[in-house]
Parts: sequence; C-alpha cells; structure tokens
Amino acid sequence: MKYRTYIAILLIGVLVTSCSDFLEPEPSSALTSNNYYTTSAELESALIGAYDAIQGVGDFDKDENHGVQYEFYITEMRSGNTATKIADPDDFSDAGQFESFNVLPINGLVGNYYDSYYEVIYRANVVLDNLGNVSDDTSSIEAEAKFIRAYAYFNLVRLFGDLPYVDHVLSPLEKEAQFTRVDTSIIYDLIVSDLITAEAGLDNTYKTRASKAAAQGLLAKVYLTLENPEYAKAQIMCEKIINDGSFGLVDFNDVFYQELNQEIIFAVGFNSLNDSQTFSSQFMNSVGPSSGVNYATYDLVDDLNEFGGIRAQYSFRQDPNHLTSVRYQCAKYFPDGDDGGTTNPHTFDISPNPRLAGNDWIVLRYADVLLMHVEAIMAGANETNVGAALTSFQQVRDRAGLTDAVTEISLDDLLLERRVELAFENHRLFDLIRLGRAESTLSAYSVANGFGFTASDLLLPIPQNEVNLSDGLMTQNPGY
Amino acid sequence: MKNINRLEKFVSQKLMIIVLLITCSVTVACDPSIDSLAFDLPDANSQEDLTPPSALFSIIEGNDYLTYSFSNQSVSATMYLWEYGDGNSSTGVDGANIYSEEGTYTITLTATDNLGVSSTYTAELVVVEPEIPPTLIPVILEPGFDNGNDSRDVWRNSSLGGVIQITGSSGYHEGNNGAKLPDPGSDRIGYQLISEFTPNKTYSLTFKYRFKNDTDDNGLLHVSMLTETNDPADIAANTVGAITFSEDVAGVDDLISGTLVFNSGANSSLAIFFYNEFDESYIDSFEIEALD
Repeated sequence: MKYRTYIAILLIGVLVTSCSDFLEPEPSSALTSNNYYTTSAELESALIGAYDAIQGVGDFDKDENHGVQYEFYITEMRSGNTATKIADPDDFSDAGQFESFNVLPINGLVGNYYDSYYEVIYRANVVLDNLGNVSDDTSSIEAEAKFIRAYAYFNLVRLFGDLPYVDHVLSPLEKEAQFTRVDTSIIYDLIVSDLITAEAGLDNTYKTRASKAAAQGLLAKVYLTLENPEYAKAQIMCEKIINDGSFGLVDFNDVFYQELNQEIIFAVGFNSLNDSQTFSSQFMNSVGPSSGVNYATYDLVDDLNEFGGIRAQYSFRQDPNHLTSVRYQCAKYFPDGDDGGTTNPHTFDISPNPRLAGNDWIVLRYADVLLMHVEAIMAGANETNVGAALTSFQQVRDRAGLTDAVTEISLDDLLLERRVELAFENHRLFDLIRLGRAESTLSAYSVANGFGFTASDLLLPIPQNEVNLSDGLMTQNPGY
Repeated sequence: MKNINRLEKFVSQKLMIIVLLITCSVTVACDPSIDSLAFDLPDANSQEDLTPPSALFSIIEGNDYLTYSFSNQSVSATMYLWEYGDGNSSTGVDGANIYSEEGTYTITLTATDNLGVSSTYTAELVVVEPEIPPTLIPVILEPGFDNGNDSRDVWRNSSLGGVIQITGSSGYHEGNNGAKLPDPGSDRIGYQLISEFTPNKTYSLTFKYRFKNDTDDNGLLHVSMLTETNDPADIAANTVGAITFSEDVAGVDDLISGTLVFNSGANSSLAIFFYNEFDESYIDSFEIEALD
C-alpha cells in the first residue's frame, strides 16, 4: 500500500515535468510558405516547382495533374488533325469526345488541364507574392515567374474564354475571385503586361526555362491573337528573334530528336529515366493505357503528302501493328525503344520499357516565329508580297525541300504551311481560330466525317466540377 | 367434398368482394366531380421554366466581305430560327449567309426551348467592301532648306554629328538654299525623324546632290533611312535602307537626282540620315513617295 502511493506520486511527478518541453517544439524540420522564402535561391526552387506543374506527373493517374502531357487531347485532337486510332461514333470515353466535337463538361481530360494550368498560375503567384521577402535583386525571378503565368493564362484563355482572374495567392475566403469569370480582354491585359516584364528582365540562357526570346515569341503570338491584333508590335517581336542570330532552322528530323537544338526557343523538358512523359507512348499502338490516340486523320496525311515536302516522312508513319485498316501515327515524338517502325509487327527492341520517353515538348520554335513574321506583315489582309514576308516564308519551305520561289503568300497558303510544318505540335486549332478559318474549316471537316461541330465547340466547357463548387458563381460556356 | 364446397364458396365470396372493391375505386377515382380532386389541376405540380432560353450570337466574317458565319451562343434552347435581313433564313444551330450586295442588315436569332418559350436577339451587320487604306506619306520638314540657317534646326542631331551648313552658292542648290556638307573633318550630318509611314510598304526618297572637287580624294555621300537613334554605334544596326554616291561616278559639274528605295518594315517612323566623306558635298530638295 505504502509503495503504491509512492509509485503513484512518482509517476504523476514524471508525467507533469516531462511534458513541458515536448508540447511546445520549435519546428526545425517543417517549413511553411509563410516563413520559407527568404533568399533568391529559395525563390528559384519555387520557380522550378512552377515548371514542374507545367510538366505534370508522368503517369496515368486521373487524380494527378498531367500538365502539358494532356494538352494534345484538347487542342490537336479537336482541330481535324488527329483522332483516336479507331474512330467510334459511340465512343463516349473522354478521349473519344474530342475528334467528334462532343466534349462533355464532365470530361476528365479537360478538367485535368484546367486544374493543371491553374496550378501553374498558383505556383507562379507564390513566387511573385514572396518577392518582397527577399532582399536580393529579384527582377529576373519576377520576369521568369511572370513568363510562366502568362504562358499558362494564354493557353487557358484561348481554350476556355472568360476566366477567373487570379493574380495573387488566393486565401480560402476569396471565393469570388476563384469562380467569377472576367472578360478575356482583362486576362489578355495581364498576359501582355507579364510578358513585357518578362521580355525586359530575361536573357537567352535557357531553352527549357523562360528566356528573352521565348517571351518575345510568345508576345508576338499574343499580339496576333488579340481581338484587335497589334500586327506591327508582333512584327517587331519576331524581328528581334530573327535579328538576334542565335536561332535558325535545322534538319527537320533533328528538330525533334536533337534536343535543345538551334531551332528550339522554348520547350518543356523531360528525361526518360527519372522524369518521363507519357504522351509519346500514348501516340503508339497500345503502348500506353489506350489503344492509341492522336493518330493523324486522313485529312492531315493528305495535306502532308501533297504540300509537306520532306516533312511528310518525318511527321507521320503508317502504324505497323494495326493490320485491319490503314492508320497513321505521329512520328515526331517516338518513345524510348521505338525502332522507327522498320519491323512489322512492331517491336521495341532498344529498351525494355517503351512507356518511357524523354522527348521534350516543344512550345515555341524558330519556324513558328518565321511564319508568325509572315502573319504579322500580312496584317489581316488576304495576301502579301512584301519581301521580308517572302524571305521568312521561303526559309521554312526551303528547309522542307520546297525550293520553288514564292512570289505571293495568301492567308490560306500560310495556314496550310503552318499545318504541315507544325502538325502534332498543338498549334492547328489556335491557328484556325486566330486566322478566322475555324468555323468554315471545321464545319466542312465535321460534315465530311459525320461529326457534330458547331461554333460553340471552339471553346471547351468549363469543367463541371468547378461549376458545382462555385455555388452558382461560375457560368458555363454556351452550347454545353 | 364438403370441405371443398366450403372452400369454393369462401373463395368466390372473396373474389366477389375484391371485384366490387376494384369497380368502386375505379369509378370513384375517375370521377372528376369528386370534391377532393377539385384543385388538382393538370399542371399544378409541374415546374415552371427555370431555365428559359436566352438567344445570343456573334458574327464572323468569312473569306470575303460578303460571306459571314454566325456563331450561336444561346443557352437553354433547342430550336433556332435565323433571319439574315436579306430574306434568307435557316434553322441550323449555327448560321451562315452570303449577302449579294453591300448594305446594313438586321440579323435576328429566335431561340426556342421544348416548352415553347423563346428568346430573340438581333444584331446589325454593315456589309461593305473594305477599302484598301492608302499608303501614308510622311511629311519632311524643310525639304529644300529654303529658310536659310533656320532650316537647319529640324535636321540637327548633336549626338550623331555637327549640324549641316546652308549654301546659297549658285549651281549647288535649288530654290533659295541647299544643304552643304563641307570638307571632311567637321563631321557634319543631317538627321530628321519623319512619320507616319505605313508599315511594310516600299517608298522612294528622291533628292538632288552634287560633289565639289575640293580635295584630291574621291568624295562619298551617304544617304540612309534609320530607325530612331541617338547613338552613333547603333547606326549600322538601325539602317533600313542606304545608298552611297561617289564623286568619280557622279562627277562634280551639276546637281543630279538621287533615289533611295526602301521598305518601311515594322516602323511607323524613320529618320533620314546623310553625311559625306573625303570631299565636300551638297544635298537638296528631298521628296518622298510610296511605290506600292
């Protein structure tokens, strides 16, 4: 009895005294966003995080953001350039909705891209909100973060139209900002101002990170896309890149298989072993989880064969494994282990895992800039014969082996040249819209294939998830 | 046997009751005069149209100024009637029309849902053949240097060189006066920023010039068009077009005509820039015209 009392007292004493320090620990291993960013190196790590959001996660988990890896679904597969391997009018799978212009607001791939690119914007905003916490000169970091934010917004605004305007890190209470869609012109004002800052504050050190030339090229495209295009400013931006002399055209196949070559202005970098992307395998026959997506339409193949010059052989190839019909695959981004299709049936004998692919995603390359230069000089007219435009256009065609002298370029010539030059690179839909040919071209394509295109299909639906979360704040696009 | 009889009787009684009940209830239920059903109007429980249609469209110009397509942006509608204002109409989701002539047309879209509720939206469309805007001709101030030394101010750029001299010597100018670039060493230049140019147009700058044989060297006169600059180091990079005249080719006897053809590029303003080397030169009577 006596002992028990002593033991009890002792235990109580131990408990009381021992707790005092444990319950108020100094956080030594945990960092929060409030106290983390104090040096420019730490801000730079946040910038790398924003690039990571553009890359997305290299798997097929529907709960992960896949960033640029899913972009082809919502751009190229909606442009008449590509489709699923076996078109099925009753295919209500997410991937099958794009080619037939029957995208549903619950489409997971659309939702994934929307989430991914707002994640990019969020991460860029984290950097921008913390610039004031760092005493060093942060002007280049600011420029880089603004480039990333502008790049993300430019893609979103072209795909979805009016958007929530998020120019800082939102607190949980800012529901209005999160879900109220503002006019595209306000979004474009932010994009232009961000890119002007980026252009002034960057140099041409990197190709897989923002650079001065990348900002100039993107700004040129933004100027051409505006509701009232700024053609002269776009031309000046293109000429800054052209006159810089650091960029040029390379062998067409090398554009895609010699990474960071002279033609690349901005690319999203991947590495096959520890940072692999998934789109390369998805473009193949049953290598990814699908049986094959982003296959060339006959419409595209016909144009490439007739007008592409040597680009045809480097842009697509007949699927060597699919034997019941003739289908064509994208040849610009073969994954690891692909042997170029010389064996039939197709084998992947170089690497044991053809799902791995380190091919960079090219966002902006010199040929695009040369063709934008032509577009800027054409300045909304239906044709041009200005010497500077002819020179730029001729360079692109010469590289493709089409050396006959060009004396006049019509708007449709330009659109066709962009199609065969930039096939599979997610430009076609935006080109058609920007140059005012989307309705006529896609209607004709839709009628020829029995699809249901209407003009409201040019904008994607706002993901249903966002509309539901907004408690009625968020409006849906027409036609959905 | 007795049991079976009883069972038959029992069953038939029950059946009779059931049949009676059903008959009653059917009769009662179908009688609209029964009080309990008096207020149960046919549409009393139907929902009102919470999402009435709202018509809207945008106009997209086609490949020429007479061809238009109309992008339907209506919500909550299923049927559409397009009236294009020229008598044409259609009922598809999107509209398209080719007008036969210029004019102002009122386009009406009537969007109707399956409950018969409709909404209309109208927009005016002015169909007019776009004029090709004339190429702008920039104004050159003091093109003939005819106001004596006062003519020099608009040609001055102290960052690039000393100011020109003005001459009245007979045979070396037209009109009252002309510009003189004296013997080398004084590094004089003429510079004038002019606007507005139409971008990407070909222009021709014409002028009169003459060399004077003051030195043994072969005089050179350079005339060029530059984008705006105040830094001599930028001159080469900023040059849009340039021409050089040489004393041994031009001779020294008369004023002769010179022409510089150039393209304005992405610029709405450009500077005329001229200077001499090795011998005394004169320049006068600038004019500019568009060649496109």
